[in-house]
Amino acid sequence: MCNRYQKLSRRLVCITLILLYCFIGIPLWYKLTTVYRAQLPTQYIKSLHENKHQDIHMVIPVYLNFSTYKFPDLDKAVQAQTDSVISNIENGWDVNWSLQLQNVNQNNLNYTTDFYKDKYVVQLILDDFVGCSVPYDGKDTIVFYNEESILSNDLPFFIAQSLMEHTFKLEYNLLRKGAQNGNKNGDSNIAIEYSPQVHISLSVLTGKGYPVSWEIEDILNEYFTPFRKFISPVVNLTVDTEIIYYNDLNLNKLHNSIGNFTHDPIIEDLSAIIDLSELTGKNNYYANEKSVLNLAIVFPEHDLPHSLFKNGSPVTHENDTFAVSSFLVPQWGSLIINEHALPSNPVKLSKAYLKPIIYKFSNEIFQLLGLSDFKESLSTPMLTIDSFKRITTIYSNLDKSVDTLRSLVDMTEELPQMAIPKQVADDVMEALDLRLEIVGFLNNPNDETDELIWDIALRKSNELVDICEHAFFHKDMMQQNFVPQEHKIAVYLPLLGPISVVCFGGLIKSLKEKSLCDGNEADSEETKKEK
Amino acid sequence: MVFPATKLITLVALCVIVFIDICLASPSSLVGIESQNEIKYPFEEKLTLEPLPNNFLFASFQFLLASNDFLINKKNIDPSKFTHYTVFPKSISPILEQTDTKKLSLRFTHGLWDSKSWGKLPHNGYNSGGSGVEIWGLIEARNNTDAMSKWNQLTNQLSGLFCASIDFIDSSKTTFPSNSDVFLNNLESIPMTDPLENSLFLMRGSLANEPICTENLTPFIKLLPNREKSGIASLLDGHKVFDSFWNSMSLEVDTICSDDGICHYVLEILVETVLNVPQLLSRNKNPIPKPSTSDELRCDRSKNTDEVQCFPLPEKSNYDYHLSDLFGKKVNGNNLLSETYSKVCMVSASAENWKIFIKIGDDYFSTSDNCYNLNVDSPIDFFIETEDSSDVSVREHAPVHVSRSLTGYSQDRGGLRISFWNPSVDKNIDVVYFESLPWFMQPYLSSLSLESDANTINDELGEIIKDTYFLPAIDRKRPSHIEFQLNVPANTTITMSYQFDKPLLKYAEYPPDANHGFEIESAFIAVKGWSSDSHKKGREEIYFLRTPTLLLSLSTPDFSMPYNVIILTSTVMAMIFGMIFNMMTKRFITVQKADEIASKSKIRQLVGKLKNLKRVAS
Repeated sequence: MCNRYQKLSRRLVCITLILLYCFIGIPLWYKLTTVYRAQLPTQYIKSLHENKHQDIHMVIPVYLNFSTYKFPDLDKAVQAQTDSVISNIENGWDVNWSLQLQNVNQNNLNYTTDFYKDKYVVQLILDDFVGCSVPYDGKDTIVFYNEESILSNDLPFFIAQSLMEHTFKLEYNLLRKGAQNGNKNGDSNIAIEYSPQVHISLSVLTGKGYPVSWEIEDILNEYFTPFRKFISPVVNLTVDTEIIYYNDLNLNKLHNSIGNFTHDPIIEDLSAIIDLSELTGKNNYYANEKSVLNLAIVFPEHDLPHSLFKNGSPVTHENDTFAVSSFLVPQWGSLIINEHALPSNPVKLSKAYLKPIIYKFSNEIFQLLGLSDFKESLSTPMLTIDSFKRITTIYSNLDKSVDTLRSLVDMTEELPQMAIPKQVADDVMEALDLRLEIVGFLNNPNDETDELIWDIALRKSNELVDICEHAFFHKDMMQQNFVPQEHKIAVYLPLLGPISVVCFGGLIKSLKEKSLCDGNEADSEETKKEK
Repeated sequence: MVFPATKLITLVALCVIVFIDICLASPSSLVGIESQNEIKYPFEEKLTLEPLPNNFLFASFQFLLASNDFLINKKNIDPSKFTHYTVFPKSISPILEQTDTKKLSLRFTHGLWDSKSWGKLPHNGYNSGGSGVEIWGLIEARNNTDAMSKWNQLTNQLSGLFCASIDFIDSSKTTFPSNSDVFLNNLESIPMTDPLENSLFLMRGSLANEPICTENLTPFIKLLPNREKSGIASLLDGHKVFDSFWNSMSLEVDTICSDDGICHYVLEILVETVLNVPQLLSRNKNPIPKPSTSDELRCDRSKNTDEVQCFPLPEKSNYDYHLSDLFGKKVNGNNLLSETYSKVCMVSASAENWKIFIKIGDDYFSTSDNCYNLNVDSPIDFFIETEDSSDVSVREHAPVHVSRSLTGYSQDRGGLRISFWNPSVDKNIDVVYFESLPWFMQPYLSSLSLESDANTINDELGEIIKDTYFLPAIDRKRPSHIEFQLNVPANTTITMSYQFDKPLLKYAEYPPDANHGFEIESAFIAVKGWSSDSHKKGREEIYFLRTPTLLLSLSTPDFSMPYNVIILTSTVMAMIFGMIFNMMTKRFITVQKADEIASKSKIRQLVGKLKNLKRVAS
């Protein structure tokens, strides 16, 4: 005979234990044996990645300075014209930007000081004709106007056109939608990624062991020093030179053992045979410079066939008997291959030999650094450098940082067993805060600072790239992946298995007991009736 | 990094002028490649051969290189300054500059130098390390933490450059030797970038018994401008260099500066090896060792000799062989880059018994001093001939012999015993004993005891140790650092011993083969004022030697233990839970009721039917 109270209490015990097992035991076990995964702002990073420039509206302040006549409303009129030009662009903008026109306040005490020295100022000069000039030594835009242009009210439009097509030509061309995609098909396959520190390694290689000297110091001082100084606001170049003996980058492999060519080599053979690994490896010890560009001048151990140089880009003078060809190696540098081996005695490479090579390399560096767009605008270097800073800040650094963060988020989602240390989450938060700060500099560049605002933005964006990479390459993220989830299950199966069997077996038995008791009670009622 | 506008204008103008200059430059009638009479670079190389007793040959390859000049203060990078490399290896300078290393010593040593038979170590032991890898660095830094950070960067980069596990030398294996004036000479003359803010830190680390093989020689060869293509370096073959009883490869870089801050690096590379000549010659003859035939056996005919019995004669003493027999290659001509000709010399007290001939083509030439300047650009070999190979120069004896051994068998305690023997009959010597013990050897200085074999000085043992420096270990962060200054009396053996504890390590801290034991690095001994020659100064005044490494066995756990514990505990917990669960949910009924329920069981009924069927059938 079933005791209803006992039956209920047994069932209650079973259910309680099952509930404890399911809702406290398993989550607790799971929690205690699960790797730590810090919370990342996944959605925010994804939305940033989908629209990288959503919160950027770059504002560039421009000041109008007039001397002969006073135009109190000219800034508003020019503002309307520039806004109109910007808003009417075909396809729209990839990065929103605008000019902020203001008249120079000549009553301001700061006017005579350096306040406007680093600012964009439009100097309005009354003349007989209408024209525009952008000097190479400053950031001023000189607009010449005559009285007819004032009467016909063309002056605002003319100033706006001058600013867009001359002063901010690079922004006007490169910030449009699709402009960067077009660029990617060209330079970006050849250019290295932007880095504030780039090392340039110049080498002479000879397949023989006779001593070589070169007048490289003089040549570099002539051609490289001005270039280094010019580019130093955005890229700090360090340069070293080296002479390497008994190494012609494997060109001697074109010969067979008796000194003849194995076959008539063609230019495609070069890319298959040339071994740049040793040259590249020598630069691995420049820890501060992430990017390295090379110029290698190679003298083979044996003379090379002239046919090899048919498609090369010649770099020597017409009168030279030597054929010297230049080959641009994407993201590596320039390779200069000489047709003839050096004579078997000590030789000196004079300026006459090195001049065309270094000059050609100086031009190729723009391409290798990804500055081809800027090379055309070198007649106005001050404006170009500023534009480069803004565009690099946005396209090279901010975009790259968001890409890195997105990759981090994707990786953590793809690998659910991977640990995410707190340091990574802190780095991510720091990176996002820094990004907002940089965007603040771009959107509101009127803050009074000693340093030029674009320099601050570029410097901080370089820091941003480093922080993002530090977050992505955290060593603790990978090591937990070597312990698979199955391992955990296998180790704890002696605990989980028996407890699961006991709990669920007990529950089934308890439920089964109900029917059994019901049957017993029915039997006893039938017995009573028979009696 | 913003460039002032006015300067930029000037520079851009200069740039434009330069570009115009290039465009207007008239084409040169010459190609610009001019032959020169002589171009020589600061590079020297020398091979020294020295016969040792018992038919051993000591070969020392020495290379000296110097870098171009540079300015010590590079903080303000001048755009008009460029770094030039001619013969000095490009891979070394950036590492030294980034880590502010003013002096670097890296030694790869393997084998046993038999000082009792061969005399003192080459170069007074300065360039030889303990067995394994040893690195010394003099680093300019603000404080210890900064120095350690730069040291870590240095070891990591050298690890990649030399294909060795130097990056394993972290803070737990690094010491700051206190007697730096003993280990380094002219410490005051070493230049500093920022003498007001920074100090110089002498740091040392070592990997005991680190295997050294051919892949470690290749990076050394790559540092040479002529590689192994010409000069004496063409003899260097890893298979031969390491097929030796003792070998050492060392690299020393010094920063030398003038008063006006113009500096250059001086690099000394030494590859040294002790070869057993008969063994190498017989290996050339029979690359696969096999027993000698009866006619090749050298039996003592004065004794009973037959087909099964042979009393061997002592090894023969007259040898003649080519250097190419030992190194497998000939010297591939002169090194064309050196300031001086490549030099090959044989050092031997008995020039009469030992002759070395240079072989060019099929012709042999000799000199009176057994020294040769290589000035031909064709393969060169050397022929060595001796009538009595035991007639070798008498090397100076080592001023002290030191042996170190582990004592005790316990799993949790042990001891170290170090013996110093001064073989001199009349000269006491001052010794600096340096020892760096891993953090898991925890010594007790209180247990330090001294013994001597000379009964007469037992009362003065307290005077033996002149000075003690002890820095205890910090678990997993810093090794124990012990330095003693001892005075060892003449013709006396002093034995020093102390006890240490062996703690248990964490699970992951045991090496893959924990039962093999833990390698303990060599102790390092510097002997001051050992030479009676008063002309010897600086480095020559001090003799350095290392003890062999030790193998310490720690109590090793069963590595499957954590899993076993989890599994066993889980099983017990599951059993206890099952019993409790059973007790809490069990239904208590009478035996009759149980039988009744059991009889209603369908299985019971089925079994009963089967039994009935069986009974009917029977």
